[in-house]
Amino acid sequence: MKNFLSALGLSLLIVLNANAQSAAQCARALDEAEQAFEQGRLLYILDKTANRKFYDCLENGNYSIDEEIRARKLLVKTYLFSDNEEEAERELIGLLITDKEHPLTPEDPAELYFLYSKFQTEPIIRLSGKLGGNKTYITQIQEFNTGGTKQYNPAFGNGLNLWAEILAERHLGKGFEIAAGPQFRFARYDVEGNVNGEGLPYEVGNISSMLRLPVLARYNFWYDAKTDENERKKLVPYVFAGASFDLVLNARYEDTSRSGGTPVTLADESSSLSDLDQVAKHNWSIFGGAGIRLRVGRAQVNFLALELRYDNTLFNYINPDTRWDNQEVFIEVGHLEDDLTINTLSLSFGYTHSLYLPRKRKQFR
Amino acid sequence: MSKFLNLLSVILFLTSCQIEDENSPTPEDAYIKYYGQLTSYEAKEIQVIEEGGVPASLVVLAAKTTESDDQDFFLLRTNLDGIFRDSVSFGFNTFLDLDNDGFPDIDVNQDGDTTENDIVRGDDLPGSMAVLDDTLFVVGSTSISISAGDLSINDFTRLAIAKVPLAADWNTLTKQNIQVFTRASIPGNTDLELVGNDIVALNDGGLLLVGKKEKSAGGVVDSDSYIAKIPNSRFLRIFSFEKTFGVSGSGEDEEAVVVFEKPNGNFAVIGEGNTNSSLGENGGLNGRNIYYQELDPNGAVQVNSRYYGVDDPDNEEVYDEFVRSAISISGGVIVVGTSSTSQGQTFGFAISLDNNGGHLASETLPSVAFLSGESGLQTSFSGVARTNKNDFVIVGQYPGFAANNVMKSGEALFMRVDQSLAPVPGSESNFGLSGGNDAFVDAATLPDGGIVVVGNVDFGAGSKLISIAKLSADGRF
Repeated sequence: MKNFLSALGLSLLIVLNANAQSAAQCARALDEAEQAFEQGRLLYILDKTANRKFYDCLENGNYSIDEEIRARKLLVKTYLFSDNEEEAERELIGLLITDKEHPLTPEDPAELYFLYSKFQTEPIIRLSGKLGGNKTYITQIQEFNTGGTKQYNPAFGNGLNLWAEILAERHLGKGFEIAAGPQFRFARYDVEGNVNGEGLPYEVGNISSMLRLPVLARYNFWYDAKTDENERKKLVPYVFAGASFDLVLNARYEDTSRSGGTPVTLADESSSLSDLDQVAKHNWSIFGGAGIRLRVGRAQVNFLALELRYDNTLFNYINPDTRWDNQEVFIEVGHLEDDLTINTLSLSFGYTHSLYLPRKRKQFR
Repeated sequence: MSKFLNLLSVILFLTSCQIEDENSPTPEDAYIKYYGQLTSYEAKEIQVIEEGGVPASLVVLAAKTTESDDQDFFLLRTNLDGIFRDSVSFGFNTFLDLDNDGFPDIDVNQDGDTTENDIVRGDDLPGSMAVLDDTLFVVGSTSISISAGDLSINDFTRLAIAKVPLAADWNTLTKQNIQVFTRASIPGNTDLELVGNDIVALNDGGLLLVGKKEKSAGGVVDSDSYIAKIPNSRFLRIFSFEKTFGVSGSGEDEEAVVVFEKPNGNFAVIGEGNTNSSLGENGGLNGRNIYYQELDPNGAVQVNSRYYGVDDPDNEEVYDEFVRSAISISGGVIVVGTSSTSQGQTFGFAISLDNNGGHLASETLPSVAFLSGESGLQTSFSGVARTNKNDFVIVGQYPGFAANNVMKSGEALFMRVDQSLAPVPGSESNFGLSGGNDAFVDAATLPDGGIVVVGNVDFGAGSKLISIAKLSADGRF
C-alpha cells in the first residue's frame, strides 16, 4: 500500500510538472506568433509546421481562455492581412464562440472592424428563468356581501404564493428586447369577514394556480454602455411591460371557516371553485415593472436579475353566473365572492443565459 | 434616471385598469343578507313599503330575544336592495292595566300602591303590520308573567298594538319612544288570552284587527275568532266594535289569522276552526280545518261561511290544518299553511278561493323535487306571494331535509306554483345551514319582478339571524 501511494504521488508530480511545462511552452509560442505578426512575418504564423506548437496548443486546448482569445484573434488578423478572408471569417467564428460578443479595442485594425460588422455577434436568443414570490391585491369590480363586514388581507409568504417562469428573449437592438414564455403562478387571497358584524367571524382563503403565457417588451438602460476602462457596465436597469393570457388550472377554498354560533370548517378538498365552475377559466392580464440586471460570467453576457413586477388582471376572476352555486360558502360560512380581479406585486430573482450562433449576417452571405 | 421613472410611471398607469362586463349580474339582481345581533330572532312578515307612492323599502316584523331573555317586537328596515337602513326593538314595558281603564292595576313593586312605576315586561309575539298615514302599525300579543309577593300571574296573554312612525330614524327610537297598548280578553281576568294575528288599514281611515279571544262559560274555556275595529288610528284604545265569532263549547276553538277588506266594504276573514266542511269537497271531515268567513262592515257574520280541510277517510288519519298566511288577488284569495297528521307528519297546503270563498283549487304539497322514499319530503308553508306572471311562490320549511345524500335539520323551502296551485317543475329549492333550524317565513314581490323572502337562519349556539334574500320567481339567485 505504501509503495502504491508513493507511486501515485510521483505520477501526480510528473503530470503537474508536465502541464506546467506545456503551459509555459504554449505561452511562449503565442508570444512568438504575436511578435511575428508585429514584425510582419505572416507566413511564419500561417506555417503550421514551423509554428507547430502554436497550433497544437490551440487545438489541444492548452491555452488559457485569455490566451486562446489572443491566439484566435491573431489568426483572424493574420488571415485578413494575407487576403484570405474566407479563413479569416472561419477564425472569427472560432473567436466569437470562444469569446461571446468579443469586444474590439481601439488598437484593432479597421479591417477587423469591417469584418466584425458583417457577423452576427449578439445572441440569437436568451433563455431566462425566474422564481418569485407574490403579494396579492384584490380590486373589487362589484361588491357582493351578506350584510356584515368583509375585508381582504393580502397574503405573502405563506408558502404558496410563488411563481416561476421561463422566457425566451430576443434582443432587437439598442437595448430593446421582446420575450415570451410560460409562467406558473400560485395566487392566494384571504378574506376576513363577519356575518352580522359581530360574533360570527369567518375566514376564507381562495387559492388558484394558473398557467400564464406572458409576452413582454423590455427596455434596458445602459445596455451597450461601457466604463472608462472599455468594459461593459455591469449593472443594467430595465423597465418592461406586457400582456398575458392566463389559464386557471385549479382554484379552491382553503382554511375556510366560520366561528361563532356552531363553528363550521369547510373541507379543503370539498370546496373546489373549479369543480363548480365558479371562477373564470381564462383571463387576460397586463403587467409592468422594473428590474436590474447584473452581468455575470467572463464574457459578461449572462445576467442575474432582481425584478419588481405588477400584474393586473383585466377581467373578472369570479364567474358571476355561478356565484350562488355553493351554499356551503354563502350560507354556512356567510361569504360571497365579489366580482374582482386578482393583481399581484411580485419580487423575483432570475438568471438569463445568452445563446449564440456566430455567423455572417444574412446580407453578407 | 428621469427617463427610467417616466417609463415606469407610464407602465404602472397602464397596469391599473379593469374591464367590466356590463351584462354581469349586479348585487341588486340577487342577494342574501343576514341581520341581527348575536341573539335569536324569529321573523314573521315582510312588506314592501312605499314612500311617496313609490316602493322604497323592505320592512320585516320579527321577534327578538333580548338580553334579559324576554322577547320584544323587532322591526328591521332595508332598502329594496337589502341594504340595512335602521331597526328598532320594543315591547310591552309599562304598568299593567287589567280592566282597560288606562290606569295601573297591579302593585308590581310591592310598595303599597299602584302607580305608573309598576312596570312589567312581556314576551311579545308579532302578528302582522299595516301602514296608514305614514305610520306603521304592529299587532301581536304580549305574554306576561309576574311573581311578586302573593301575586302570581303566569303567561297572561294580551293583544298588543303599537305604532311606529315611518319617517323617523328607527335607530334612534327606543322602547320608551314606542308605546305598546295592550288589551285583555276579559278585564280583570288574567287567565284568558286575547291574541292579535293580523291588522289592516281600512279605506275609511280605521284599522281592523283579527285574532283569537278566550272566553269562559260555565268553567269551560272556549277560544273564538276575534275581530275589532279602531276607527281612528290616533287613538288605539278606542274601538268602534270588538266581536267574536265561532262555535261555543269544549274543543270548539276558532282563530282568525288573516283579514282583508273587500271592495264592497265587507271583511273576508280566513282562519281555522274545528267545524267540518259541509261541502263535500276537500271535506275536512275531522281535525282542525280552514275557514273563510265574510263579515259585514260592523263585524257581523253575514254571508259566505265556508270550511275546508284535508280529508283521509280511508286511513282514519286526522289532518289538522293551520293557516299561516294568505294574499288577496283580484279573483279571490290564496291561503297557505300546514296540515299536520295524527301520524306526526306535516305537509304544506295551498288553497285558492274565489271572492265568495268558493273553492277553486287546492293542493297538499309534499316536496316535489326531493323525494323521500316513495313520497316527498315533509313540508310546512308559511308565506305566499304573487309573481309578476300571476302565479305564486310559496315559502316555508322542510322540517327535516334528507335528499340527494344531504341530511339537514330544518331547511328553508321555496316553491313556485301555477294558478291551479300545481308546482312549477324545477322551481323548488332548499336553503339553509347543515345543522340549523332554518326557514323562510314570508315573501313579497318587488317592482322588478324579483321575489324577496325573509327567513330565519340558525347559526347555532343561540344565534338565529334574520335573512332577506332576493331570488327569481324560480327560486334562483
